[in-house]
Amino acid sequence: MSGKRGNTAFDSVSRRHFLATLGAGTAISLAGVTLGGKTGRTEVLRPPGAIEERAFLSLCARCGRCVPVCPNSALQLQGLENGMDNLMTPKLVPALGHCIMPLNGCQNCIEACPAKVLQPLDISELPTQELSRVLKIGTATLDTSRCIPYSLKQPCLACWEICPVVGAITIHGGTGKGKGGGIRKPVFNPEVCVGCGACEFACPTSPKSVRVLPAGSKRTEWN
Amino acid sequence: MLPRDGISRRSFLGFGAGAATLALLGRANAQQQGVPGRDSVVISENGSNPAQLVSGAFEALGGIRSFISPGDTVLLKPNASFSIGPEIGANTNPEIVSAVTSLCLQAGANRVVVADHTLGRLGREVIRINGIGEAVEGCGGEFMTLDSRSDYEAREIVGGNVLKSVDSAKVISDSDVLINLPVMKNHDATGASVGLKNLMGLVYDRMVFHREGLWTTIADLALAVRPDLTIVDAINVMTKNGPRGQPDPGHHYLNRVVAGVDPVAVDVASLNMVSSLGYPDFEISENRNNYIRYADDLGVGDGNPSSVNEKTFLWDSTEGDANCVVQKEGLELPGWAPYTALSGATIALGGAAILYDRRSGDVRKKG
Repeated sequence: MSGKRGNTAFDSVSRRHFLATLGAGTAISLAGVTLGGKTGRTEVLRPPGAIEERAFLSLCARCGRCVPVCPNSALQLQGLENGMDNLMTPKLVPALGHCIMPLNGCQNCIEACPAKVLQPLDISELPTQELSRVLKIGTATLDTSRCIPYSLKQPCLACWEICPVVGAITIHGGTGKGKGGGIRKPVFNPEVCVGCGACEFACPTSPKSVRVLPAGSKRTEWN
Repeated sequence: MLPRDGISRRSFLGFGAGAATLALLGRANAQQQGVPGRDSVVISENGSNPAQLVSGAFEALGGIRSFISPGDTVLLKPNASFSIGPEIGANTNPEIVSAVTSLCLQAGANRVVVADHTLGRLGREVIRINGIGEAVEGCGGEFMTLDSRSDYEAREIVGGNVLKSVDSAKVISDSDVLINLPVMKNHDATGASVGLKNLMGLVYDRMVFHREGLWTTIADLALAVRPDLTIVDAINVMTKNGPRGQPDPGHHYLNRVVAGVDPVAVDVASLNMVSSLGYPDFEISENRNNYIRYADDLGVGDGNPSSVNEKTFLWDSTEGDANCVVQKEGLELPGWAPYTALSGATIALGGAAILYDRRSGDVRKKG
């Protein structure tokens, strides 16, 4: 999990090829700005350490290097679903996989980013309950009309089981009597949540009761 | 009022009687005297280390050779799902896993495969963090992470409540013996997690269990995947905030393992033992560990607390012994001799090729 820059699946990419991709990426960015009218109109979940959205859209090389290095296959390059300006930029898709930085400090995508639109995050000294001060990809939200313990009064807590951040989900209820009365329910705490997407990944309902939204994400500065 | 949907009148009355008996007994954990048999549930205690507790449990159940034959492939299913250190008790104690691995190899097993479908599809990383990978591989076992769909095959469930089939690990079919090695701990969804729930780690799509209802589906799975032996790690029981046990696992140190052939009876004996210490999450009721009742009703095993209590034995494991024997000799690299021979041969061949090349050159020059 300690991938170093340059030690990626894209090692074989030549300098010329890379510069060509960078050029094409910049062209797409400019085209996006021109055709889309404005940038960042649809915010998406970015990989950890992403810089502020307008700068991200301008500077992301659209090279795709961050995608294959993710050990949990959580990243995807976008098509045109979010407009021309988002084309070929990476997004975190929790239904495919979740970011494991809270688990083991993985920064593979950040280390692989040549344009530095993903900036290193120093989380080594932080207990998980304080991670959101530095790492905040988005915020998990719960639709209680679909969530199994709320709607069916059946035990579930798949989200609580997998959540690596202490305090991001707390458990309520469980003291009632009678059928379903003693079933415990998850409550999501947006301030503590880092938006890694583990809960959405594990949520068994279809469609998902848990969604991680970009709201509240903390962005870094490009340097 | 106890729930009755899906539960027969007989088992309903049986549970009532069992609960009443336990209430009368007060601290209703195993107190039987005499010699346990193969149908008994054994609570192994007083061991000075986890290996001794495991060794004692095997001895009480008639010896490990009554479970393992020479040449067998043995599948161990610990709870190795959580990316958290062994001190929390969210996973099976690595020393228990390594002790069982060693004992099986010493009993003549050909292979000991330890497998789990860890949470979040990151098996290798999870078992590195929780220490179980190293514990297994240091003892000559092999850890198989069950992350990929190709690790599974469809298995029919005959007579289940909800599930008609389940995608279970292929390695079950490839093994001669399945030993379930759960950890005893609190689980905020079901009440507790012991043996039957631990078997969910041999399933690919666990989401269907949550969607269809954990009580019925856990019981259905027990019909299809039946361990030959269950050994429960009840050394340092997590009593709250399970299954991860964060921020506070509320440990209750028991220094015991619970073992038996009947997977339901082992769960019931383990739950009895902890609930009698004043932990209501470990009771069997309509909102806690209710899969026990469904499993009993499907005939998977004995889920009646009073009859299980009658066949539960305390076993003093002070005399037991199980050292983790490193069995890696066969895997170690050979000594210097083969390398020297290989290098010598390479140099000689290279020299011969150079001489041959020069000689051919000379011949060509001379025409």
